[in-house]
Amino acid sequence: MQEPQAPTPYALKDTFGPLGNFLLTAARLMAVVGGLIFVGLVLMSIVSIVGRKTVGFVVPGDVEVLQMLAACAAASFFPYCHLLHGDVKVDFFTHNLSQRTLWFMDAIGSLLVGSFGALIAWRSWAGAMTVKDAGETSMILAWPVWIPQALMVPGFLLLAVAGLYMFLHQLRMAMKGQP
Amino acid sequence: MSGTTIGFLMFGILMALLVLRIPIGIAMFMVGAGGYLYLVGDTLPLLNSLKNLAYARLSNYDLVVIPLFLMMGQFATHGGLSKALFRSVSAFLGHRKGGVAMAAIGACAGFGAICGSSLATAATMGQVALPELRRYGYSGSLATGALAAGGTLGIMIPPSVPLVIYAILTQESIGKLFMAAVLPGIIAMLGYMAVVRIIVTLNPAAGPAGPEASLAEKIKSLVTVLPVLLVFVVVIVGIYGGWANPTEAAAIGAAACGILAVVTGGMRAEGLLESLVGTAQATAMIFLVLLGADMLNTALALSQMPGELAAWVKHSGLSPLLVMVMILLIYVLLGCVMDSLAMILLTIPIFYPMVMGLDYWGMSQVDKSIWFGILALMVVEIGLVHPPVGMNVYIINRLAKDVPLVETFKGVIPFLISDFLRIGLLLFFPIISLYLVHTFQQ
Repeated sequence: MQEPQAPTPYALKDTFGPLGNFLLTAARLMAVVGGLIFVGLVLMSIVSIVGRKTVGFVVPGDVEVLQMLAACAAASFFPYCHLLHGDVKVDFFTHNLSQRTLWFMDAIGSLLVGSFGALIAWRSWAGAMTVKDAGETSMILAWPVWIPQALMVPGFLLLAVAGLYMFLHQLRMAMKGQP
Repeated sequence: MSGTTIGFLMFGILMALLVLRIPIGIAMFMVGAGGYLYLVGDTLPLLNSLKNLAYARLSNYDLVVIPLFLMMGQFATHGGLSKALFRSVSAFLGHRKGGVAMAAIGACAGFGAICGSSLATAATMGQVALPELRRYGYSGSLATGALAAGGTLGIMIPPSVPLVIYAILTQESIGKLFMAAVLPGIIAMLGYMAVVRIIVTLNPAAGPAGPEASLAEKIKSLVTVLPVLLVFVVVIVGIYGGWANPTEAAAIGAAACGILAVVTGGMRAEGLLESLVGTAQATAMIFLVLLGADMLNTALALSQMPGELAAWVKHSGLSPLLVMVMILLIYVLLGCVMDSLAMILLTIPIFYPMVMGLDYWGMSQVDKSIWFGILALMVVEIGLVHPPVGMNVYIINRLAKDVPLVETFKGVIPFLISDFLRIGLLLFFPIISLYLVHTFQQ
C-alpha cells in the first residue's frame, strides 16, 4: 500500500523551476508577514487583558483591530499552503493509481484552487469598493472597513497565481511521467 | 426538483468530486455555489454574497482562536517542550512494566493540553519517545501503537481545533465544550494506559521496565513541566471562569508557550520563523475548508434539506439511540476516507438539527449539544488511527523505520478497542461530559 500524501505540516518536497521558487519565496514572505501580524495581535491582547485586570486600561478598539488584522493576515496564508501541497484531499480512492494520473488529478485541483483564488480576489475587491462607497467605518476607532477588506486581495491574488502555476507545473510533471 | 432533492444531489456530487481528489474546500465551494445558483436561479445574488464571504468568515472574532491555538502548538513543538514532558512522566512511571509506553501516553496527553492537533502531537512525541521505547526493548507494535493512539489525545484534550469548529458551527460556548472535554480526555488517557498494562501482563517481553528514577530526579522533572501545566490551567480556567474570552485565552496561551519555548527550549529566530510558517500553513489548510463549507452551508440552508431531514427523522419513530448509533457509525466510516475537520464541517449542519430534535434521557438542549459535540469529537478522532487512512499511524510508522506498517496497525487495535468502549461509556453516561460543566456553572 502506497503511503498517502500527508497533510501539512509534513508535506513532501517538490522541485520547482525558477518561477516556482520565486512564487514560493513570495508566498513564504507573505505568510511570515501574516504570522508576525498574529504575533502583534497576541501582544496587543495581552496588554489589553493585563491592563483590564490591573489598572483598568484597555487598548481602545482591541476587538475590532483584532478582527480587521486577523482577516488580512489569514488571507495571506493561502498561497504558501497551496504551493506546499497543503490542500486537504481525500486520497483513499486514488492512492493506487499511477503517479502520472495523480499528477494530472492534482493539476485539475490546482486549476480549481487558482480559479477560486481569482474569484474571491475579484469579489473581495468589489466588496471593499462597495463598503468604501458606503463610507462604513469601525465602531470604536472609526477606521474605514474597506481597507482591511482590500488588503485581503493580495493574498487571494497570489493564490490565483500559485494555483495557475501549480496547474502548469503538475501538468508538465504528468506529461513527463516523472514520479 | 424539491429543495431536499437538490440538497441530496449536492451531497452526491460532492462525494464524487472528493473521490476524484479535488481539494475538499474547493469541492464544497463549487457544489455550494452550484446549488445556490440553481436554487436562486440568477447569478447576481451569488456574486453579491461572495463579496463578503471571505471577510465575514476570516474576521470572525471566535475563529481567531484557531490560528492562535495553532501557533501555541507550533511554539510547543519547536520549543522542545515534548522532551521535558516525556522525561517527567517517565521519571514517575518508567520503572513499571510497560512504564515507558505509559509515560509516552501521559506525555502525549500533556502535550495535547497545549496543542490542538493530533498529527503534531504524534509527530513530536514520536520523535522524542520512540528512540527511548526501542532502547528499552519495547516491541515494535506496542511502541508504535501506543504513540499513534496517544497522538489522538492531542485533539481529545482541550484546546482542540475540531471542538472550536463545532462550537462555531452550532453557536455553542467554546469554554463549555473545552470544560466538557477534560474528563473524557483523561479517561481516554487512562484507558490507553490500561491497554498497555494488559498487553505487558499478557506478554511481558513486549514492554520491559525501565530504570527507577530517584526522588530528586522526580522533583526536578516535575519542576520543568510545571509551566506547561500552568499554561493549560490558565487557558481552560481563564475561558471557563469568564475572565478571558477564548480568543484572549488563546493569545495568553500562545504568548506563554512562545516564552517557554525561548527560555526553556532554546528557540531562536529560525525556530520562530518555522513556527510562523507552520502556523500559516496549518491555518490556511483549515480556513480553505471553512470557506468552502460556508458556501455549502448557505446553499444547504436555502434548500431546507437539513431541516426537513431532521423533521423526517423525528417523526419516523426511529429510536433516538438508534439514530445516534447510526450517526456514530457514519463517522467511523467517513473516518476511513476523510480528515476529521472536514468530517465535522460536512456533517454537523445535517446531524446537529437531527440530534437536537430528538430526546435523549430528557437532557436540556444545551446539555445535549455539548454531549453530542464531545461524542462527535471522540468518534472523528478514531479515524486518525484506524485503517486504511489512519494518519497518525503513518506518521509514527515513518519515524520507526524498522517496524513494518502492518505491525503498527496491529499494535493500534487494542487501543481502538478502548476507544470504542469509551465512546459507549460517553454515549450512555452523558454525565461524564457534563459533570465539570455543571459543577463549575457560574
